[in-house]
Amino acid sequence: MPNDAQSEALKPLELSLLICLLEGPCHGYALVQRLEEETEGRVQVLPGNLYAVLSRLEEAGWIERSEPPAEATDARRRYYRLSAVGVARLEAETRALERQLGLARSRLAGSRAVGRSRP
Amino acid sequence: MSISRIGPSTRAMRRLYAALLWLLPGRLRRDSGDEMLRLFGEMAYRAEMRTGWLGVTAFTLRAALDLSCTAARLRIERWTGGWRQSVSGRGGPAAGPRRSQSGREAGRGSRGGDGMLERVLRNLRVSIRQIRRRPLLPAVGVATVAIGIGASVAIFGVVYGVLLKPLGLESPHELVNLRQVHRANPHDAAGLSPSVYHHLREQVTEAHLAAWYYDSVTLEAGGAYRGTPVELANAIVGSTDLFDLLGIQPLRGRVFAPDDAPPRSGRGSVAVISEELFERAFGGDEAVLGSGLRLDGELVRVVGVVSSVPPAPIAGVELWLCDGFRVDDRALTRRLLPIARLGGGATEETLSAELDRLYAGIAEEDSRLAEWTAAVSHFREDLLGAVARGLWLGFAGILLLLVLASANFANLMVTRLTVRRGELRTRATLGATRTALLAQQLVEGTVLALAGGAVGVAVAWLLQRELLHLAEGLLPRVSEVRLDLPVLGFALALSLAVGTGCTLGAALVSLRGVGARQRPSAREEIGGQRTRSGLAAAQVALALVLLAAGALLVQSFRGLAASDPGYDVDSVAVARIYVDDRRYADLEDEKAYFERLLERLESLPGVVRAATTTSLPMDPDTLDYDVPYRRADLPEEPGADAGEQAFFRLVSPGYFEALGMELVTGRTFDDRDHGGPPTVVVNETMARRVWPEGAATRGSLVVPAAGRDPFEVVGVVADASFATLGAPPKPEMYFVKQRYSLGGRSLVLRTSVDPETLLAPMRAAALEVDPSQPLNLATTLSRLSRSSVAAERFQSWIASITASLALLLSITGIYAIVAFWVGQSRFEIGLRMAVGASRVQIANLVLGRGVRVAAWGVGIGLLLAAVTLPGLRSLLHGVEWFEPSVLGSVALLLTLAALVASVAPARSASRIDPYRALRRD
Repeated sequence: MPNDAQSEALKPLELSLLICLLEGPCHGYALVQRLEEETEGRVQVLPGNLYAVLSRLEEAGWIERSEPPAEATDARRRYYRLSAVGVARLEAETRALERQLGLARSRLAGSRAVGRSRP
Repeated sequence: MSISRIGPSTRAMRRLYAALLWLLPGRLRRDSGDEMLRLFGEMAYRAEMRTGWLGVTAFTLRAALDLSCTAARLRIERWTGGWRQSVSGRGGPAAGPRRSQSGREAGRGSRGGDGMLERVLRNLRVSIRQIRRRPLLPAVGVATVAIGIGASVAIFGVVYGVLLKPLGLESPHELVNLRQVHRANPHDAAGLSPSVYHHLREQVTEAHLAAWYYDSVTLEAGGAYRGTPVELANAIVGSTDLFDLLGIQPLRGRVFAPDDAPPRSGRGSVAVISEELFERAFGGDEAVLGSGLRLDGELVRVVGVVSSVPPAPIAGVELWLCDGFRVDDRALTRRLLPIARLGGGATEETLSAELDRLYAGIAEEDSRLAEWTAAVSHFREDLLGAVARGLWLGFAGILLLLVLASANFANLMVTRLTVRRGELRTRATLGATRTALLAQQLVEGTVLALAGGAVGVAVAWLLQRELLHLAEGLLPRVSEVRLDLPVLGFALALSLAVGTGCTLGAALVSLRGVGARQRPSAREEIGGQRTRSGLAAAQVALALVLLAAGALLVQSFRGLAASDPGYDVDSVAVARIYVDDRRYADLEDEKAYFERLLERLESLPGVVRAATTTSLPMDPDTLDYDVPYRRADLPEEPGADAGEQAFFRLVSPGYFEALGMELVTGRTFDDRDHGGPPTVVVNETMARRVWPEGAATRGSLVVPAAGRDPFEVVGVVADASFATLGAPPKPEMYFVKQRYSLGGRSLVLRTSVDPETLLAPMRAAALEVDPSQPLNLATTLSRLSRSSVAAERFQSWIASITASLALLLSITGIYAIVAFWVGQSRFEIGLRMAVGASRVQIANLVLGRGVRVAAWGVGIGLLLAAVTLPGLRSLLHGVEWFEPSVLGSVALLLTLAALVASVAPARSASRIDPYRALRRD
């Protein structure tokens, strides 16, 4: 399964969640807050979708459930963290994105030289 | 955060969300349901802290939508095997183009790799965003669809419940009713006597026969019975095979068996009761089966419960009894109503022919039946035929409204697309195919239509509740009408049809110019504009006719309801009573009983006067018949056919006083009239007809039906409406001397207090006088007179509802056309502004357009009204079809409505930025 998953394009929300979890183990509400902070409120995820995506990521092996960290205020919450496979997956995704970003930058610079195209 | 910090509104929302979790596939719900609920609570709490209960509500709606969409996606993914696919999928991250947040909408749907569901869900999200961005136009669209669908669903619900729902009988199309009719005059119909019934039943080969008759019985307390101490119930007394013939299965217990019929004359000692009676009077207690019930003082055994399916157009039958219909039972003469199930291959005609032959055979033995034969009519037709035509007609009329609503909706969608032409073109430039754009529009239109349908169902619920309330007693099977699954399915299908049909049409029209290089030519656009304006004007015209008709009917009904019936309607209590003819077989006993009863009733506090009558005003079920009469001072014309007829009423002294009828000349009845020479009181119409020269009180009448000696006219009373409010007066004769036993009688009581408060004491007083004689229909005269015009009330209500809906539709129609024109003419408006037109001038220009469409509509509507309104004449009482004030105010109302409808587009036109408008196009 993880091998297959290597070749799957990540959806924006999946990517954002993985990036959030890079900070360390996290529970649902903290994920929502982190996501809002990091996107300046542009992305607000709602419970139904969040747990559907989390369960998919978990099934793909990219994240796993973890013990609550020592400083946790509420031990009943469920915490998630990135797995080794997930970290590798995120690295691959970042490289692919960088490649695309580079392409876009160079071409945008080229088109600006030609002149603004009408919408 | 702990749960205890959650506010009350949040707690309620949390419960709602918890319920919605059941939508999720079981695995995810079990695994993460608690976590979702916890997270929901935390986020809801945050929303409440930030923006109060409004914030919580908005958040809950969003979260609920999110949960439903997620659940739908997961379920369909799992169903199509897509769950795995989404994880182990197609192409590497570098292979496919990356989606970027900002460019998401532009190229939507243009990629081929996505699944159908993905596309629909994405389209749905984009649609909701689009609708939220410009809410007015979609809101008008939703309202338009809601009106059309609400009205259609309300009427369809009635049509479905009354006409289409199964009757609960086996193959009802095979059932026919039989009546004995006079050969010369088929309207003279009667029941059959037992001997004829048995003869037919044995001889007929084309059908199986069973028979029944109505009876009313008194139910007395005792045993498991928990109803009122004594009550009168409608019963059907049938042959033992009636249920088998109809194909009615018992809900509990059994129906009649052949040996239930008694060996002697009269009813058998077993009863089947209705579900309602079972619940109401026996508390749904099974123990009643097999136990005794006192009916008319005799003990009968309850053997079964059936659902209340009336085998005849009568509501409220609660008891079924059986009878062997013995030939020697004189009480059944011409009383049996046979019902037949046609055998294989037999038709109404073949049965009719066979019965005709059999009657000819009977006539040879019994010459009294020579003039009679049997008429056959369809059971279903007898039950529903009278209302079916009216209901289908109403349904067709409402469908016309739906067509108008759909046209408006399509117009609104065109307008919406015109406003967004720039955006659509951008998307097409970015690579969206026409199909993708079309799909997007289709999803959007369907979402709007579904929302309209949902609001429409709420509208239908309100309409239907009011409709059924008003139709009480006018429609059979009203209890079958409700918003059940088939009706809701109809609403859903209608919404989908309107949504997809209108959007498809609108999109095909307006996307023509988007994909291609060329825009539609000016001529094409003007042509389309004309068609749309014409449609809007036609709606105004139709609304004018409907509004005028509605106003006239309402005015006429108001006049009718306020008309003076000639009685003091507000302070009269009335009741019917049927005396037991075995107990009061002797005339003197019956008279004495009524004297005791009146005396007891007059002793009730609040009763001023009590009297009896054979015919109760405004009572649809009362006995009322006219008899021949002639002036005593004119010789009998030999050979004259029956002569003049007038209504015959037998009353007790005090009748006129109790009803508050006005005396014109002479006197009313008093004690003198019991013993002295025969006397009569007539009404004004009668007096004018018989004594055109006046001086009626010096005349006498010969009325053979009332007695041999001439009756001296002692008084003339003022005319009064009898059968219904507003009914024209007919000649009436009142007598006071009773010559034979009558059985049934009505009571009228004049009260000094609210008559409603006397109904219970009246019932109790009647039972005091004779415990076996309960009152039937104790009510007030004002209630009777109100329900006597129920049909007119219903008509005026339907007409005013239809008219209001048409008015609303014409408003949305004008709004659609004006908004469309503004969207289309941004360049023109910008140009006008650029050369100096003020914003007020622009607004006036737009308002003028709306009013111009309305003016055309009003003009056409007035012409249409001149043609159609005279058709209402027969429905109008005291109002002329041509009422300049009505037509004038309706025309003014529609013009104002057009102004109101144009305000929003005028505002948006006056806010157009000339610089942007000129640059964009």
